[in-house]
Order: sequence, then structure tokens, then C-alpha cells
Amino acid sequence: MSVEILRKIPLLLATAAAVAVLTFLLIHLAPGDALDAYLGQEGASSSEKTLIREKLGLDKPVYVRFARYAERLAKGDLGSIPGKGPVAAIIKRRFIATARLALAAILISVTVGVSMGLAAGWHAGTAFDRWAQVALVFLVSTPIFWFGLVVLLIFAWGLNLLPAAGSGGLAHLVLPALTLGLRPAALIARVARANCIEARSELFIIAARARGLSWPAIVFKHILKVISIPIVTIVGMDFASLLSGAVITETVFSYQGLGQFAVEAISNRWYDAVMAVALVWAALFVGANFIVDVSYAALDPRTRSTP
Amino acid sequence: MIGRAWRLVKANKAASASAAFLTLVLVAAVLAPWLAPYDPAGQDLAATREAPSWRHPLGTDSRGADVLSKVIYGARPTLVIAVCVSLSTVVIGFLLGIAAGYTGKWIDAALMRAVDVMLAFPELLLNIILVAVLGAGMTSLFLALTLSGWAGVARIARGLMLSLAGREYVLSARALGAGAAGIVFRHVIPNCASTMIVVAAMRMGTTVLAAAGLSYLGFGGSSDSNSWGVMVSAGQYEIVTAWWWPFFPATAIALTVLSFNLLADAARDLLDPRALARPVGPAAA
Repeated sequence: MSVEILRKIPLLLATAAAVAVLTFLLIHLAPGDALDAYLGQEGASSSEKTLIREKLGLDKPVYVRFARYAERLAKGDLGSIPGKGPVAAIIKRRFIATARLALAAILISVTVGVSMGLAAGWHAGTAFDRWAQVALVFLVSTPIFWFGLVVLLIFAWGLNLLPAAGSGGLAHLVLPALTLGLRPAALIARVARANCIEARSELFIIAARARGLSWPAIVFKHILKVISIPIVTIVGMDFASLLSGAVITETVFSYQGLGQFAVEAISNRWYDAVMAVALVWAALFVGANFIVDVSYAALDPRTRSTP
Repeated sequence: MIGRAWRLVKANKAASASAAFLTLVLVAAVLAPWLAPYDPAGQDLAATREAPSWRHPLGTDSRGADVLSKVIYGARPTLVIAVCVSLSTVVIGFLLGIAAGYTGKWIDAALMRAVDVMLAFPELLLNIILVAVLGAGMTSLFLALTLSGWAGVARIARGLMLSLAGREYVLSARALGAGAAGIVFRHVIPNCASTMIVVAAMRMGTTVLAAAGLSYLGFGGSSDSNSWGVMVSAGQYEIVTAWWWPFFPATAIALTVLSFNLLADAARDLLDPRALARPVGPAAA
């Protein structure tokens, strides 16, 4: 790992911290009484409210509240949701579900995207390539819930093979992962196609063809190696929108993941939960960026030399 | 340039189809009261969840309202949000970006760190929180999408400004004593205009998509508003009993975004011919 990558770590941590502060300010400056959300349906008399407010520290200014929150956070306490228990346990469960979904979607998008991109790039200029291009623009532009609805309609109800909603086993994962993976698949296919076309005219590929290598051999020995770098970049850069997509996908399929939990938490004003989701989300994003940088160094020998 | 644009749009089948579809959406938005066959808020409890027929070409929803009429009226909020948000993000982002690139030093550093944070902030989460804070409705949707969208534009504008700052004509204008305002108006804006038009066109598509996603999640506006996203959200659980109810507004969103994206691609090809030769790599994406 080069010094430059290590040098980026403080900046990444500062970014994650800034996201936390911003989220805290946003939700705590929001109009509406946090206490009403805390008390739920039952409510309380105004004198009781004053007492609880003092007990919870809600009468203090925002920066004091943030200091208290940071102090709790440093001890590893993410807080709790009234009537639902500690946030940390819920977040952990939801995170595992979303990670499973995101990984399956990435797997689908890389497999579909690379094979589609290579096929189109190899046959660049043909009718197949033109139709593939049209399909790619369509996939990139289509809202995830459109896929979700169509996928639901075709598979779960039309063919009645796979469960339409809920989370759990592998069968529950197929349709959401397919829905979530299609858009990144199109992004990857675009990049794979462009790089494949570029690679086709490279001297080492021409030399390989002249040596009589079959095209599968060329693809597996040379082209995949060349396109791996831009594809890692695309997967890393698209990670944030994959998480956003997960929110919508999870809602479409009633999948009990982090995204659905985020919507629930914000709608119900579970402040601790909103903060925790924002923190996890920012950490994931920052982590993905870091992994992209590290894998550059691993995949591309040109970045290894120190200036 | 308009003549050239017209010829290019005519030559490009995808772009002309997109332009035609967007014109249709615009006409639907403007002439909604005359085009819609029924009152979009009207109820007809004798004709709920009716499949598409001659009487109701796109079917009816659970209250018997005509889906076609609702889709026609839904063009209004969609276009208003797309145009307002992309204009405001491009103007704000552009001004902040060239301010950062022109002044340099700590202003540049501070603005770019802010941009880094904004871009690291999960956009959908930020939008949901902002709408929740500001209260549901078109105004807060506009504010939220503007607040979360300017950073990307600012980064592009700063890059343009930095590349312009070193050009001979800018340097000589400076040497001749031209002030910041003069340089920005005479050199920077004309040179950035074409890129900013392309960025604005691209933002139209992303804005429609983002607004639809927010509405779909229930953060876009009140349930009686006519936006397409709200319709999809309301109809999604009836996908089995009345597939036409969520499907047609969702398809309207998809086609609108597709058209904006294809037109943005065509605009990029028209205004920046170099982009044609440039490989689609990480830098271009």
C-alpha cells in the first residue's frame, strides 16, 4: 500500500465525521417536537413533558446535545428506539440483509455487464451492437421501481416461481438482486464495451490474433485484464447509487434491509436510528472509495511507482 | 446554432424520438385541462380498478379515477420540478465553481471540501431527511433536490475555470487590467456555456428520477397531488389487481428520463465534438 493511499485516510475520516455532524444538525433543527415522537401515541401533560425534556437533555442547545451524542457514540452506544430496543442490534441485522442484497446485485451486474459489454464491443458496429446500445441506454434511464414492478409482475405472479416479498432465504434474494443489479450492469457494459473496442486495436491483441489465439483465449488472457481496472472504478463509484437503489428495491419487495429501515426511521423521527443509518451509510461510501484506491494499486502497475 | 441543432436532431433518430416525446409531455402539461378526458380527482365508485378499455384507455384506479387523465395532469409537477431544479443547481453550482476556481487559496479549499462532503453524503438519504425536515410538498422537493445537487456541478465548473485561467486570452485580459467580472462575463461564461447546457440537460433526467424516487418512497408530496411518482407509490400494492394503475405512470417516468438522457447525449455530441472520440472511461463517467 503506497503512502499516498495512507495519506487519504484522515480526509476520508473527516468526510465521514462531517456527514455525521450535518445529519445531526438537520434532524435536530427540524421543526416538530422530538418529544412527541419519543412519547408515541400516549402523549403526556405539559408538566410531565418539561420533566422528560430535562431528563433527556432536550432543553439544551444543539451543540451540547451533539457533544452528548458524540460522547455516547465514542462509548459504542448508538442509542435506542422507544419500544423497539437498541439501535445497534437492529442496524446489525438490517445491515447483513442489505449487504447480502448489494453483493448479489454486484455479482449479477458484473457478470451480465461484462459479458454484454464484451459481446457488444467485439461485434462493434453490427446490428447486434446497435440494439445492445439501445438496451443499455434504456437500462440506465429506467427508474428502479419500474423494473421492480415489471419483475414482480412477470416472475412472481405470472410464472409464480419466486417469492414476491419478504426477506430470508436465497429465493427471496433473486428478484430484488436482479432489480437492483440491472442499472449498474448497464453502466458496466458501457465501460466494458468502450474498453473492449479500444483494446481490440492494441498491438498486443493484434499480435495475439496473429499468433492464432482463438478469441475466447484472447478475451480471458488479455482483455479481461485490461478492462478490470475501469470496471472496479465503476463498481466503486456507483456504490452510493447502489445503496440509494437498495432503499427503493427494498421498499418494492418489502425486503427487511437497511434502506427500508432508513425510510421507517425518518418517517417516525427515530433520531438515534437516523443518525446510525447515516453513519453506517457514510462509512460504507468512504470505505468503497478507499477500496477503489487500494485496488487501483493492486490491479494497475502504473500507479505503484512512487513519484 | 439552432439550425445545426435541428439538423443533428433530425439525423439522430433517438434524439428526434426523444424530442417528440418530450414535446408530447410538454403539450400534455400545458393543455392538461383540455386533453384529459376526465377529472383526475374525480371518483366513480361504479368503475373502480377497471382494466384499459375504450372508455378508460389506461384503466381506472381504486377510486374509479381515470388513469390517463391522472397521467396527463402528472406531466405538470414533473416538468416544473425538472426545469426549476436543473436551472437552480446549474446556476448555483456554476457560480460557486468558478468562484472557487477563480479566487483559489482558502476559498477554493473550503468550497471544495464542502463539495467533497456533499458528494460523500448519500444523496437519497440527504433528500429524504431534507424533505422530512422541510415538510412534504413541491417547494421542499425543489429545495431538497437543489441543496443536494449543486456540488457535482460546482466541481465541473471549477475544473473548467482552472483550465480557462491558464489560457493566453484570459492571461492577457488580466495583464491588460480586466477585472474579475469582466473576465467572467467576456471569457468564462461564453466558454463554459456549452458544457453547462449539457450538464443542465443531464440534470433534467437525474432530477426527474430523483423526484420520482422520493415520491415513490412517500416523501414527494401529499397523496392527492398528481405527480407520477405519487401515483406509482399509491398503486404499487395493487400491481396484481390493477397493474395499469402503477405501470403507466412508472412508464411515463421511465420514458421521460430516457428522453432527457438521449437528448443530453445528442447535445453533448453537438456542442463538444471531441467527446465523440473520447473513450468512455472512468474520467468521462
